[in-house]
Amino acid sequence: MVRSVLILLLTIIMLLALVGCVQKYPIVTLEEIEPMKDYLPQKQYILLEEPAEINDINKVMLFLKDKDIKKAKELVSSLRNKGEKEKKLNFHDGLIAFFEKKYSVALHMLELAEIDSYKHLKYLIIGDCMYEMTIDPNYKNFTTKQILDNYQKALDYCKTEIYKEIIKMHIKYAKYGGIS
Amino acid sequence: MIKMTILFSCLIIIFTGCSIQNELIRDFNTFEKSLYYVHDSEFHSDKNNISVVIDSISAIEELPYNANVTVLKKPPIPLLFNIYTYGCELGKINYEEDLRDFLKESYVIEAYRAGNFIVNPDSLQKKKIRNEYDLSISVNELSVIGPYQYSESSNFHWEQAGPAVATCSMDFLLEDEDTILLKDNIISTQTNVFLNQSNIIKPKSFYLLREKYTVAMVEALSFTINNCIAELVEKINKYLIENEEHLEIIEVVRLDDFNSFMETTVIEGKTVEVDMEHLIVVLDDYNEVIGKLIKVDKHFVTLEYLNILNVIKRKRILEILDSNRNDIMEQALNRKDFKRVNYNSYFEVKEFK
Repeated sequence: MVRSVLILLLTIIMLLALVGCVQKYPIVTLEEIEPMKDYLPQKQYILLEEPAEINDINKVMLFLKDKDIKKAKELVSSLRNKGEKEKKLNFHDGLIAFFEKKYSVALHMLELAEIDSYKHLKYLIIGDCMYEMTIDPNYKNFTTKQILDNYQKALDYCKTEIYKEIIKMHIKYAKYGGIS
Repeated sequence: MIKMTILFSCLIIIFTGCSIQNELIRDFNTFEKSLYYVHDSEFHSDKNNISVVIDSISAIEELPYNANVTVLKKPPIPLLFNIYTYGCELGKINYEEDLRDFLKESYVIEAYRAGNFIVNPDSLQKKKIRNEYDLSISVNELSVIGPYQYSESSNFHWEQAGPAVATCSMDFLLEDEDTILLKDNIISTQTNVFLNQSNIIKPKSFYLLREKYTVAMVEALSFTINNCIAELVEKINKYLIENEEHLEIIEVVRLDDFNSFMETTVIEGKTVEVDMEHLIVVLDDYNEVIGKLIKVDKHFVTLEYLNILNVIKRKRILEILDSNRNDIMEQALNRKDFKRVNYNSYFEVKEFK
């Protein structure tokens, strides 16, 4: 009897730990999201559209997906040493800062970043940073319009239908605080 | 005795019904949600030599200010399980934006995005424009109404919301001075399928249900406004193509122009300025170092960014900015109330000497 109660308690603790580990902004690959495309769960997904080997941004994203921020930083540091353009690296720094929940730093770095092929991701995360800062009383408040303007850009620059649906989910959170 | 029991039960029912109605009115008047939406119309980059400027938006003031709850159905005789049905209607109080400004701004953004004409021409554009038309909008209906059901017995509490129906109806008039060019009516309705119920006896969960319902209602209304404004611009586009003889493209608007335009449109809402947590230090070689302030001493300012410690010689500092790029006097760093953050470990130390 005592044993079964202990097992039950242990299971509950493990489940609670698992729930605690769930990322607010889970990074998902196209393969992972494909089966859910007809009915997307109400989550603020960040989509990794291409395999990691395509470029260093995907590599950083993959490290962040595995919650290995240290490796992501090391990669950015090595790119910096190799003389990679600072305007591009600002994007990487912004991504890392975002997943470290340093939203004002992430916002600043992403605003400085210039990277053509990832404009939709840039504005999506800028919108998310603004939303996170607005719900945190220690940060600056942004209006719904200011936040949604960035999602509007993300939506306009986005070319993938499934990513557009994901952006719309972020919009729902920003407008209604995830209660819809 | 029987008469007394019936009378007493009736009084309880009437009293419960009224108190719940008042509770619903109070709750629905506390929710304020944004109508602002993301424009999803086709982008029209070529702008012709016609301008359509919004002249007036009327009848907004006639819309109700407060949210209203009316009794639609109540049990005729006291039973064990009594269901009350209320009709909920949102008012201006439930919208974050001022309706007139919101409609005007929505039109301007949509016309800039999807219109084949110029909206709000500047002095340079005015020289190229052949005809300048005025647009008047009269709002016939801008409402969102839906049922809300409530039932309570000694051990059971149940509430159900929806589906709400949002309606946006407007007349518009396109005029060239006093000549009416186009007159039409646009209606858009949206029935929200949102429906929820609960039987948990937790007052907070019912408050949340009411808030969720308001969200669903505001979202439905936002959807109808989006539809109406998009249709209005489409109708003007169609009219100009079919009736204007000398259309000439005078401007090509790209997506980047649209983005800049969005940033310059009036921002409505509440902003509260709070100290941001990081600073930008501009060095004498115009490089910038950002980070949270860790330490300030006579010779050095130390900032932390992404677990890298940046130690900057004060002589090298040209200016110090907050994250809104407002200049902060260097002396301000010595203020005791300045936000400071302590970290125990850093991956790297960078020196700027």
